[in-house]
Amino acid sequence: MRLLVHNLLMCNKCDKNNYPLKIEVNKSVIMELEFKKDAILKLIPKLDFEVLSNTVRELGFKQFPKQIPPNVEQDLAFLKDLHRVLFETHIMDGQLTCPNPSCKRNYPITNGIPNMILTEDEQ
Amino acid sequence: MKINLTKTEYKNIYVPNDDSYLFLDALKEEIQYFPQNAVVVEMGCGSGILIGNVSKLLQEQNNRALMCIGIDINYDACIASSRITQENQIYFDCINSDGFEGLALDKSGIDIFIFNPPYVPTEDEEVERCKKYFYEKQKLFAQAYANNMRGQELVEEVSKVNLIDCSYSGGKDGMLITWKILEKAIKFMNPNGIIYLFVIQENPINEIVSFFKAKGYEGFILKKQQKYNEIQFILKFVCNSVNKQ
Repeated sequence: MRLLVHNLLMCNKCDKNNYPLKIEVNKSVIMELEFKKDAILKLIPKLDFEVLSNTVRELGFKQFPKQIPPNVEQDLAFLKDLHRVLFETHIMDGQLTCPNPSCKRNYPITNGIPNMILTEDEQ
Repeated sequence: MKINLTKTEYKNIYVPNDDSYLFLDALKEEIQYFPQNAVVVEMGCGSGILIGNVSKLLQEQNNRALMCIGIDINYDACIASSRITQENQIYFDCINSDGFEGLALDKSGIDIFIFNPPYVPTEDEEVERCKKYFYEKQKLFAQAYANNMRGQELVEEVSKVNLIDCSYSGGKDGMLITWKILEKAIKFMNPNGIIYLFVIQENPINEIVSFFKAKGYEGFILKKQQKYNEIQFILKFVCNSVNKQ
């Protein structure tokens, strides 16, 4: 599961305070993908950047900017970092947790796949 | 693009068949109309044949989609589909979910939606049985996970419950799952978004066309073929309305 996908996932059980899910990573791998500046630039408005930034920094990448830098189209260093975290980092094993303190439901990531399915009792 | 399935996967997931290849032909011809940097979502990706090929073609044609996502209710299918990304250097993401549950697609919206649904009309009994297996599998997954099974061991354990029936069982008219999914998909579609849908003659095609028309979509038949007793269609619905529904 890439962070690109994490940006789209929310808790199934809660109506409010269900996004974003907190990530805990046990194992991740980098799979290189050709950098395309145009693709990254077009993706930025479709993402919740604050969520992405918080997640990336929580996962250890402390220098990742909190906001999209000014003049982003020229900021190749930033774009390449963004490319690495969004497109190249695959979380193979970990957990996604609902941020709602009265829920905290865990969604496992195993073999790179997030499992968002609720059990029968949870429906 | 190679699809390698394990022996278990041949039993547990929908192995590409005539419908898959018809759909693939249609999508190959349609790729030229996909907008640049599209968000492409396939519901029920199965072996990954459609989303995998679409991702590959987009990558090759220098129109790499922003996101290609395959969703499947069957963990075994997600495993099979994601193997394609590793073996073919094609990148799309797989999510194990029941329809759109857990997916906050509001911000990105969907530009291209691909759906080869469980289209076969089946009796209530069969629908209930599918539901039962579905819950059983999820329970098995939760138990195995809690017992710290991971990697291949987890895959093998979870594959002991077979959801193959869920891949074709469509209840009355073969539309039980299809309606639920379409109603949600429509809400996420971006202006000028396209929905590709597989149907057979037994499905209420007129009703489907009317449903889309009422939402501001224009419908087309892209492909038609007869295979044994099934007359198969690939339908295309293009969102004409400027406002998102």
